Amino acid sequence: MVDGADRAVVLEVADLCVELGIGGTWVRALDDVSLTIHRGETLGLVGESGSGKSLTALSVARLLPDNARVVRGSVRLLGEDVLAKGARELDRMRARSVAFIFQNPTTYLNPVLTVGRQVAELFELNPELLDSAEGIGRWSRRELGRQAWRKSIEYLGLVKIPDPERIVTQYPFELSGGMQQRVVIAMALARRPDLIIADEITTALDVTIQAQILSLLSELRRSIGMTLLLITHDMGIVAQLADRVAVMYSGRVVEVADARSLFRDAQHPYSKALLETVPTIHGSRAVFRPIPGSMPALTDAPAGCRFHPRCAYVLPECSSVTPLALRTGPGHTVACHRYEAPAG
Amino acid sequence: MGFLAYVLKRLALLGLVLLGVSLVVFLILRGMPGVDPLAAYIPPGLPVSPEALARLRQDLHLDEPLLVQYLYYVSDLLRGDWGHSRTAAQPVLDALLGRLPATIELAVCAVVLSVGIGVPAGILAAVRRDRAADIAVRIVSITGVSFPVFWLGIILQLVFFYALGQLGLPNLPSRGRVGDEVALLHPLGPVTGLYVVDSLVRGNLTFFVSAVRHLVLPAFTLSLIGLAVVVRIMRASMLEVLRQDYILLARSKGLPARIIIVRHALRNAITPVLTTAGTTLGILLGGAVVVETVFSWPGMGRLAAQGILNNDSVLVVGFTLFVATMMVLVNLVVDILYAVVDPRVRY
Amino acid sequence: MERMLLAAREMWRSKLATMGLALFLAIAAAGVAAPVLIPASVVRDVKFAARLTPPDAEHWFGTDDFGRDLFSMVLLAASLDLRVAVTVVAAAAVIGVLLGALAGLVRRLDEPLMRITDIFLSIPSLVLAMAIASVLGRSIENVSIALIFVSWPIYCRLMRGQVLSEKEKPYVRALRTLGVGPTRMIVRHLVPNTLFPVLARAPADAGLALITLAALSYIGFGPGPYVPEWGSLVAAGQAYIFQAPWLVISPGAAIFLTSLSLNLLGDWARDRFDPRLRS
Repeated sequence: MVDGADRAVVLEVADLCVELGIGGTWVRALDDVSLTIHRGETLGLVGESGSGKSLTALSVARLLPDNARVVRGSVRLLGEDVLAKGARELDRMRARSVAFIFQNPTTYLNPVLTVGRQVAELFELNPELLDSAEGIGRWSRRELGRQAWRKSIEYLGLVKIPDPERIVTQYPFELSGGMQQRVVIAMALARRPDLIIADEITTALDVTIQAQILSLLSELRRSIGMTLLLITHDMGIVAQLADRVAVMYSGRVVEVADARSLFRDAQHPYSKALLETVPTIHGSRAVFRPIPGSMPALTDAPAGCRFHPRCAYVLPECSSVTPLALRTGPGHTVACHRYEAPAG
Repeated sequence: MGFLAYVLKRLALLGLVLLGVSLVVFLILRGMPGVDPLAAYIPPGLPVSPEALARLRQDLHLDEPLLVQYLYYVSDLLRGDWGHSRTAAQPVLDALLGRLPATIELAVCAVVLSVGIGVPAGILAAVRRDRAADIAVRIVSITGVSFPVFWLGIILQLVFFYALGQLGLPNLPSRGRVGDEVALLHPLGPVTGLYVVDSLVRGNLTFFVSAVRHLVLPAFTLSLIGLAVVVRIMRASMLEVLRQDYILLARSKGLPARIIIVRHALRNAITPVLTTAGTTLGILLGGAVVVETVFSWPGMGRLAAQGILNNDSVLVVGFTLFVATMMVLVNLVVDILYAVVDPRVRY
Repeated sequence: MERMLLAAREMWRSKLATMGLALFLAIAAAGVAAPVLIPASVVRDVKFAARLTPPDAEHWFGTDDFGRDLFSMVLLAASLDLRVAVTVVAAAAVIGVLLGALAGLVRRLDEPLMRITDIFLSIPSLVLAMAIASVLGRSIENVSIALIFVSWPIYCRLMRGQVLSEKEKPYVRALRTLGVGPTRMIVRHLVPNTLFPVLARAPADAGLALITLAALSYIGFGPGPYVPEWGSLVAAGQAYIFQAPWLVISPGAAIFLTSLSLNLLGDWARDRFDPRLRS
């Protein structure tokens, strides 16, 4: 529960609008998305699939697909404008400042390269990560390779992979899903980035492995003070790991709050509904109420507030006027017409 | 399962194919309905005595059932007796082996050119998708597939030998493997039969230069077939690979583009090219027949072409068998390379 | 901007195909019209005085070594070459498709038929055609037979694959329970649904057959000098290439343009009917 106002800002996304070219027309996929992440905090980004969470994440490192374009807005990483960077600077930023962990490690690891190779290449290309006492410049390529290999083994151990000396020579298909994901996490940690973006990293794993990965993440948060953008649709994970939470719906951010406030007092109707979809054994009643209807396709986005067709509290202006983000408490913003009336 | 087991398994499989080819070839030679099997062994128009005919029938075991004939045939093949060629006035196998180095030299150069130009061109077209380079490459590719190889050879002769010569410019030779004067004045003792290799080994530079100059036009002509195929496949494969998730992760690691393409993408994208290497070689060997004829290149292909004109079926059929064997061996090499490139195959 | 490129690409694709179609129709028209409009006597109309003249107003493509009008020869050859290419592919497709359907439906025939096609496909087409043609003897019919032998396996393979995957589809099972017999099943249901992707190969295959035919004629195994054929025209012209280079250009260009148009059509057919089959 941190009011991030006086902590250093690592990532600042402001009014980002991204369009996708689908079927010959441009469709608004991200609409005025704004986010802030402070150093050392974990921001949970939640929403259903298709809400734009992954697209937002990819925008941070300009890894958008070919048919995407940024229409408006800014993305600032450590104060620097990401959208204005040249190719070289972008590569450097991706290598040192931001690291991704994706959903399905089997498809995200190159099948024809050994695990060790895929980790070690990070060190070979960024020798400063090896932080050796001796001058790196004095090393031959062979020595660099050896050091990189050694360091890779070290990092694999850091993510609790058993017998890393052996694993390092194996190919991804020889490892289980959980181990593969640990490898990807190791690749992220190895760069000691300012920001780690984890996009649904446990969704493809089964529950026991999921728990292991989450506890690993939790521990790492404490031990190295990670700044983490945690993307998920699972409110349980959010409860476990996030300091603050941003809720997205159909390409828009509808609510931002610190985790405790959100769970105690979610304000946006969608957030409320999301919380009610989490089956709980605590409390007197087991409430499990799925949200009626489904999220609209990007090409059919409703006018005004995009949630209004499914909203239980809809007001007349909801179908025509897009709600703006309003501050309703310390660190708590909501985009909903219900909170606009002067009465609160 | 291990590497060795994989290789042995492939070997056995390919051996079966060869056996099948020998059966087909045998049926063509002896079993075609309406064709007298003896005709292939007798030069047309030459009067043959009935005793000689009878003896021939006996040698060829023509009065025995087809299956028995086949067994004799296969055992002859394995012993190295592939029949006698009228056209070469030699046993068929000797005639083919004698001209093998010339064809190999040509084919290898053509393959090197096809792959050496085709792979980078395919990569370029994929990386610069839909831009000028891509469209140019695709136009060249479809033109290449439609171009009759013999016509290309003739046109190249016209331009690079005749036109340049007329204009008084240095030109490229249009016939043979080496200049006649060079062969007379600077003769080469054969080592492997590959002129380029032998002349270097023996330090005979004049010969070397002449041999290389004579290789240029035929090799380029022959490479066209493979080039069009390789470019197409490489481009499609590369496009497919670049869409993969692991490429996104590689990009997110901040790896420079060159490393992503060469280390991450290429190893995955090259496998379809390898797979077609076998068939491409086959088409190449077929094309060699024509190209060797156009350029009077003294290889197996030209011999086979002469054989067909001479109704020397024994030779032509022997050539077919030889080509099939070569393809089988190449397929084996390709399978091995495949296992080297893609570790998943070994298990 | 990107959208423009996207639309341009679509247009370009079908523009190529339309060009291909137009080109093919023009050549086909020439091929059909030629024997009607051009008297067959042209072929025997040897005029040594007029031999090897370059293209001019009277002889658009020049004259050959027998003094005959090359333009007429090329057009007459179009009729032969197209006829052979089309008949070969048609016959090969029919044979291949039927055998392939059998292979897909009759389990016991599948394995042997596949072995046979494997073997045929492992021998390069020109080489196999040469072997068969050399045994059969030198004539256009024999060459056609040889080419059919070379072309049928691929259709068999493709059809078998299609039938096998189609067989598993629910509607087939439904029909079978209704008691629909095998012949009716093949003819009325399976064939139409599996045929298109397989036939998408036909135009490109015709181009291949054409080039193989021309190549065989070029190396000398074609019909004699009195039956015009593009390949043998090129071969005849090569002897005089330095005195009369135009002799090789027109027949060769004819082969190239016909093959190009067929390949363009083939590309379009493949994209349209089965993108799966594309390289």
